[in-house]
Amino acid sequence: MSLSRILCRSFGTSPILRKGVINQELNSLAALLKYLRTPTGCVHDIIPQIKSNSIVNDDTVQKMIRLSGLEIESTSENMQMWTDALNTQIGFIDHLRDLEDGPSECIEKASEVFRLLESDHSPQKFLKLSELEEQVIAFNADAEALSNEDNFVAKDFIRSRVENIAPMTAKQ
Amino acid sequence: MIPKKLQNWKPEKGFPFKCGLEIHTQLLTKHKLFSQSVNVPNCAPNANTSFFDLAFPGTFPKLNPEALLLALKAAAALDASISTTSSFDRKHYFYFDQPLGYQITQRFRPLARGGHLQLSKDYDDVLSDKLINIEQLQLEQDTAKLNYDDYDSLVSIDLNRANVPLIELVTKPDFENLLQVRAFIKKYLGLVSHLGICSGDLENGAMRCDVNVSVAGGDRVEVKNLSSTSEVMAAAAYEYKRQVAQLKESIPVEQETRSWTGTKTVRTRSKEDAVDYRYVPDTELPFVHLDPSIADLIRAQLPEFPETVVRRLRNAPYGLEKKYAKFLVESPLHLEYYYKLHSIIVGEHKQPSKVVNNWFVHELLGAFNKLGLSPDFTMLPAEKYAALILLVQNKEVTSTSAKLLLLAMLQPSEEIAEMSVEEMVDHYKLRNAAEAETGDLKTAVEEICKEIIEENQDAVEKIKAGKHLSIKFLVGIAMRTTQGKVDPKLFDETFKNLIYNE
Repeated sequence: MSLSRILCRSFGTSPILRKGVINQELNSLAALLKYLRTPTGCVHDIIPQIKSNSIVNDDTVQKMIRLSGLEIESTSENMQMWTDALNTQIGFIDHLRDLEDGPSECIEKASEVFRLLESDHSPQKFLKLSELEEQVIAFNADAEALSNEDNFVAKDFIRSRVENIAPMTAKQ
Repeated sequence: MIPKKLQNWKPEKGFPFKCGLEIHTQLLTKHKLFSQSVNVPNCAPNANTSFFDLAFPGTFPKLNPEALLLALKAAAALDASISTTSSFDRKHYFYFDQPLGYQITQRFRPLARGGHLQLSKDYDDVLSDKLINIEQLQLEQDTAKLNYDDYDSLVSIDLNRANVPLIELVTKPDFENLLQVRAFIKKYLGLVSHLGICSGDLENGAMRCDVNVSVAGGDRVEVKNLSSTSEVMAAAAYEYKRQVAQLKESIPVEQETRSWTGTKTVRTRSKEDAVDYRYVPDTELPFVHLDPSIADLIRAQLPEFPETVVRRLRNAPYGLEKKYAKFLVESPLHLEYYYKLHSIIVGEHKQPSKVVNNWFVHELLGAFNKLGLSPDFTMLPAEKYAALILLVQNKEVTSTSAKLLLLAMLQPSEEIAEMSVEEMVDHYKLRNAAEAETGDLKTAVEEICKEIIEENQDAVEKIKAGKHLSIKFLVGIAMRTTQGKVDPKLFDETFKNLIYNE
């Protein structure tokens, strides 16, 4: 399958594109290129203007510099530049989030939106005490069985790494 | 019993003491929190590790349901509100004790919130009843243990402790004096040990504590990593004194983190330098969804609480002193052994309770202590020990001989390992001399006493001069001579007859 066909199929069936809009059919490379080259908006238009009550301030930037351990000259000009840049980025992130979900509490959503665990996206199953007790028995039995088979010994592993590395370093 | 130092401790007038605790308690699970490595203390370094504990790429955490069950038991015992949905988060920091580069904890959705522990004047060595409220309880993993050499020039890392399950209990700042802090830690530790949630073994780091102290509503100072009740007491008392002295000089107390050196607290970091842990939800662990009925069901399954058991042990038919009853309650194994011994000696053989209490508390635990061993009752089954106690009660061996036999049983050689108590008595020739013909025994005892009197005329003169207690000195010599085979009362009577009626 050619690259163009893969791309066409991927874009044509992308759930993101299908979400709430009817897409034009992308059945050729030319159609795809046309679609990509036709601007639907300008990033600069959607980056918000920096507001005076922005959340990143000098203190935040100072703390980031301190935690990074980098030796940077923090003149007032530099500080202003970094503060503006960070506020712009945060403004853009907020914009993307609002676009996706509408305004929301970031902590509540973050764990659900960005996790790819199957169980997070399937209907919630509430664990009963009897089930938990069964799980305990099964887990311990499983671990017991594994300990009889498992040959992992940290000491041996470290030794094997040292033995592998030693000839290399000697060569160097 | 309240230590003298604490009896007199109270906050200075105008400088009220306020304190909260964060207690980390290791859970008594068979395996670690997110791997299947065994969770056993005192093993060779790095023996209890697996790929996940060493943070090998490609390994994933899997929650140990036993840790969840034990944490739920702790929450239920503290009457906390168990969350139907809880989740795990990553707390990032780089240090040798954390191979993953982050600790898995519960920042945003802890397992339980609220709850309380009641301190009572009768039971807890506090001056008045006090309710301590709980902020939250969460599950998290322990870190590796760092061992520094004497010159701090070499650090060795023992990953056996990495990923051991912990519960972190955070209290509200409800403590008003040090007695309450001490009582809370002891009661909490007693509770979790009694319920089989934690080993309670402080020597192996089963509990570590952070204490937050503030004075007169000022900023709070956190003293981290305290590993015993006495360390918490000392650090909190020092910190209170330091802050009061500072406030008296009109120097404001700064919010900061300090550590305890053994004699004083020293600054670790200020609020300004606070570490940014960059908490994020763990993307590899599913949410824990619990059935809302789980809290009530666990609560219904919990055994009697220590306070109830202590009350029962202090009353008939047990009649134990409060301090011994509390000691027994802290270890389910001690308590089980005591009950078994009691049922044989008092229940089956109708001996008084004080016999069991004396032989269990003073003799057995005393013998373990004397030998420098921590109590291990598998060395001496309750049935075997009961048989020995009954021989003393039936006057077949003297209590002195029984104590010697007890020491031998706790350090068994191959020769005596398989012997019954009766066989041991015969093996060591400790059968009570009272079994000999009474007349023969009396004559023999008299002869021994006469010899001792002749050889110890100084002591005899003192006794005659009014120092009656010196007769115990002579009895001691007689017991040593006969290797404890004769009842000391018989020697006592014979000596008195020979000395006073001469």
